[in-house]
Amino acid sequence: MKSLTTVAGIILCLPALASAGLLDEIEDLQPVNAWISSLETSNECGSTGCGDCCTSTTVCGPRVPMMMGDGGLGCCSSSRII
Amino acid sequence: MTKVSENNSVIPQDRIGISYNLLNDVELRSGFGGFVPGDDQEISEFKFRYEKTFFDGNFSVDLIMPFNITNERDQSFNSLNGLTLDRESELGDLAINLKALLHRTDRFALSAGLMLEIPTSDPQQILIPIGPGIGLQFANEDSYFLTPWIGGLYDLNDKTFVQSFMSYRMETNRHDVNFLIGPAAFQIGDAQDPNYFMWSTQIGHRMYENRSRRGITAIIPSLELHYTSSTDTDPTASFQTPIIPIAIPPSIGSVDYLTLTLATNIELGRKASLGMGFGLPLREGNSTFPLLSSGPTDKNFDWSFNMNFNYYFGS
Repeated sequence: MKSLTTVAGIILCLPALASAGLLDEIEDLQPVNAWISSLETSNECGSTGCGDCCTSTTVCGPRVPMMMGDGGLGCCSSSRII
Repeated sequence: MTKVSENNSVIPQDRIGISYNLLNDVELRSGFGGFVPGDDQEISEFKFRYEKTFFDGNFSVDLIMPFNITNERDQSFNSLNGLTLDRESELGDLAINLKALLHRTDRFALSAGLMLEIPTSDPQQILIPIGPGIGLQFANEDSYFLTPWIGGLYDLNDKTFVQSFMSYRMETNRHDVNFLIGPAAFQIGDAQDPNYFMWSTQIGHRMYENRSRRGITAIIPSLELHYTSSTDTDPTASFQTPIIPIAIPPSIGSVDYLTLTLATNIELGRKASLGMGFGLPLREGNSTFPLLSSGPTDKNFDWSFNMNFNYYFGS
């Protein structure tokens, strides 16, 4: 029950923070802004997606390809019975 | 466990998604260092995810909630040859993956991130039928896993691309091994899962594309290789007991899994994608502890069927 509450809390919190505009407010902070600007200068395609500079449908979309994977439980939790 | 390379891309995105893995003939090993063999089992994994970008799409946070249909967490010995194998659907460990796009040109993208797995699953218990509730418990409430990773995506030409992820998964602290008598639990030792280095790479080709907004807008077959290796010299549930003076040795030694996945991604309109794949382990491996050998160590399943669906709610 405690685990479920934690999960539900986290899942509900993030969208709520985003919709309340808190992430945008953090973005407006001066040091964060400077940091993002520095990222943009190293990003030829610009920060708002790719725009005209980019012709690649793979790197710039509209949809980038997903890696399928090989299944998560196929290995590893050896101290437990899978 | 959740791997960074599952239903993921290097580029941060706004999406909700579900992935499904069917693992056929998974070889069961018990928690006692893995030396009690069991029957092969079929395991189904479902992973629900929500990825949201921020800072102009340069970052994202990805919440991944696994559910598994597998063997019950509480197992009972009925003989030395194996365990009872009741099945159940159970909650896995919640994973939170932070992704940062470090660099992007019109043909190349590089990103890095950190995934945290939180112990939301129930602990594993092995009950011995000599009395009610007597057995061992692998307590996992302090068992957090951190996986730093780096990924790249490169366009070889207009239609062909390569995408790779490299990651390293580690348990942040050892978890308690408890002796159970009814409702009481007494710690008799602790254990730690091995650390794993993981490398996955994919080569894909956009063999069909159209610019309409409806129906199938792209078909992208791809070939993937997934390598997972334990980096410890004595991996697999080695635990020492301070009360009972024994150290149960690791039985299956170091492992090197290598899986080939053949997959096809189908883009549906501009807002959704459906992927299907088939995985084959390429290695067998042998136990490094021959007296307690329980079969191939570098192969955990015979084959897997993988599927994912993503709906993109961003622009």
